[in-house]
Amino acid sequence: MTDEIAEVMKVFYDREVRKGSFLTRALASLYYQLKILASYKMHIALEFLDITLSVLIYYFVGFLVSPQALSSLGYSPDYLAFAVLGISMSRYLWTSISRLARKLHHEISEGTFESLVAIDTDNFKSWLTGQVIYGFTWSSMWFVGTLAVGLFLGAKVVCDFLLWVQAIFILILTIVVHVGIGIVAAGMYIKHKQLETMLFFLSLVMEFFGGVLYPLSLLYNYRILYYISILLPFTHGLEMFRRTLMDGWSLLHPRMIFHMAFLLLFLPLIYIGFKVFERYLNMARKEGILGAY
Amino acid sequence: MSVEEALEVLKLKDTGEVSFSEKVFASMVRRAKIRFNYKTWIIFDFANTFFMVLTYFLLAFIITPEDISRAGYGPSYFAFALVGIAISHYVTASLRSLSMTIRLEQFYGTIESILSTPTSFIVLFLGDILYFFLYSTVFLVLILWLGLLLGAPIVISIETAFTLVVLVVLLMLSNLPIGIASAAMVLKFKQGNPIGWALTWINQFFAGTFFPITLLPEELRAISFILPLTFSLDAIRYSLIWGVGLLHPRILGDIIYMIVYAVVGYPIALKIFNVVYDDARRGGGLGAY
Repeated sequence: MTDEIAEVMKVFYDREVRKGSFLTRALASLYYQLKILASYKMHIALEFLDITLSVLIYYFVGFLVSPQALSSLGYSPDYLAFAVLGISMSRYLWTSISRLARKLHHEISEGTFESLVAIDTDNFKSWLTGQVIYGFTWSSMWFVGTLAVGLFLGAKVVCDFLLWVQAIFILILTIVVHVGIGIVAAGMYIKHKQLETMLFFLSLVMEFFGGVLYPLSLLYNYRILYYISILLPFTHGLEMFRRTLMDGWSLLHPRMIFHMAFLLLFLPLIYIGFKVFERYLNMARKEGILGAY
Repeated sequence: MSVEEALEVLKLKDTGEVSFSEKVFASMVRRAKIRFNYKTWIIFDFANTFFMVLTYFLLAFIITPEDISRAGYGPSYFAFALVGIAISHYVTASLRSLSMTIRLEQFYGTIESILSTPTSFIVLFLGDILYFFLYSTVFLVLILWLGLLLGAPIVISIETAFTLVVLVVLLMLSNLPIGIASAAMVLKFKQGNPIGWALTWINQFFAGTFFPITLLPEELRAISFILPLTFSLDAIRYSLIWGVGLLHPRILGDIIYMIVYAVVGYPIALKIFNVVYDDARRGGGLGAY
């Protein structure tokens, strides 16, 4: 397998081979990462166990939840569906925000980051894109696995094709917004280092205020917490995602329009993210601190 | 004790110059110094627990207490979940501290050098366990305090505090054999996190950290009774929720189970560890990453 990976990596460093398009190189970066992952079979098996048990916990907690209480807060009375949709989407949050910085941390600590950047900017960007896609491939496996286990256990979600398309659109939009934050963070990481924990903390805060495991309306009694929650993009993404798949709301529903407008406000973050990243990368290059750990 | 002093103690041979307990203490200081270098991780750990308590505090508003009451834990789901969260650090400590130690030493390539020092691995293990025990105790106190602030109906008195201390020590002792066996698996398969995660999830699920095990189908409940954590959780919950001490029949029953697990578990776990350890030493794969 090592030979196979070396062959793939030629796309990046071999002058004779380095003629592929941006996409080819991004896919090569994704492929080599998947190859590495595939060698950890036990890891994959245990991840699936982790998915199953984490859904099962909320399946049983669901027996304790009062359907009337959930209904009175404006949701369908199925707590399993509520929790499963929250858990599956929250995984993307962690990936979007901290995946790139974690990868940079890994490359810097292994001493391979400088060589990657030294190849050339286009190659580096395609490598970066491949890494982002890999992060989402892995999260998508988690997402699909969580939903599958949830559905198998009887989580009730809508079965309308168009509503599923809408849900996937909302999911992608939410991811894009958060990737913007992740790219800004990764850029800052190149210069400032030690930001990894801050990113975990940010994801944790967003996850809590987004209401992954409890209905947001419970925060009405704690106004400050409620206002913090509606200022975060994840809250709106998750709320729209849940409303689509649990209650069948279309994007034209007045509350969906409100959430969508809020989410779109954060969309420029992706552009800002790339700019900030490039700026920090150039700064680190000039200062010669690319490989500093 | 400074790092240098701790290392000096660990360097000494077992000739009576330094006692066993001093070495364990030095080993604990070593682990604490390493961990406290990563202050932001410790803050993150606290924040994670804080938000977890808040999440279950909010979740409790939509939960009906009948099943919790039927299982004998009173009318508050928040108190039920709070105890589960409060002792989850001890679970991690007893199940994962040894495997984490081995994995880290493998990762940094220091495991072979450590094993070639005059200090035995058991001393390092005990030092690590002691550190994690104290660290988890800080969490326990903070979580219970936060729970009381948020109105969790738990009883803190001299009797329940003493009972809690005894039960937490028994929890560590009865769960540690699983931790030793898991450390052996890490030594063999060189996979740290996944094994640790799986063990933690399995324990949390089957021992009823977030829901009473009476909700599990009977076939699955049989697995719950294989795990010592089930009895530790039951005893700690029962004591804190009803304000009863060690002599309560239900708690005494749980204590007997935990002692049986410890007595039966240690010889088996140590045997497994020794076989894997000797195998790795003979095969020269001890430090392989």
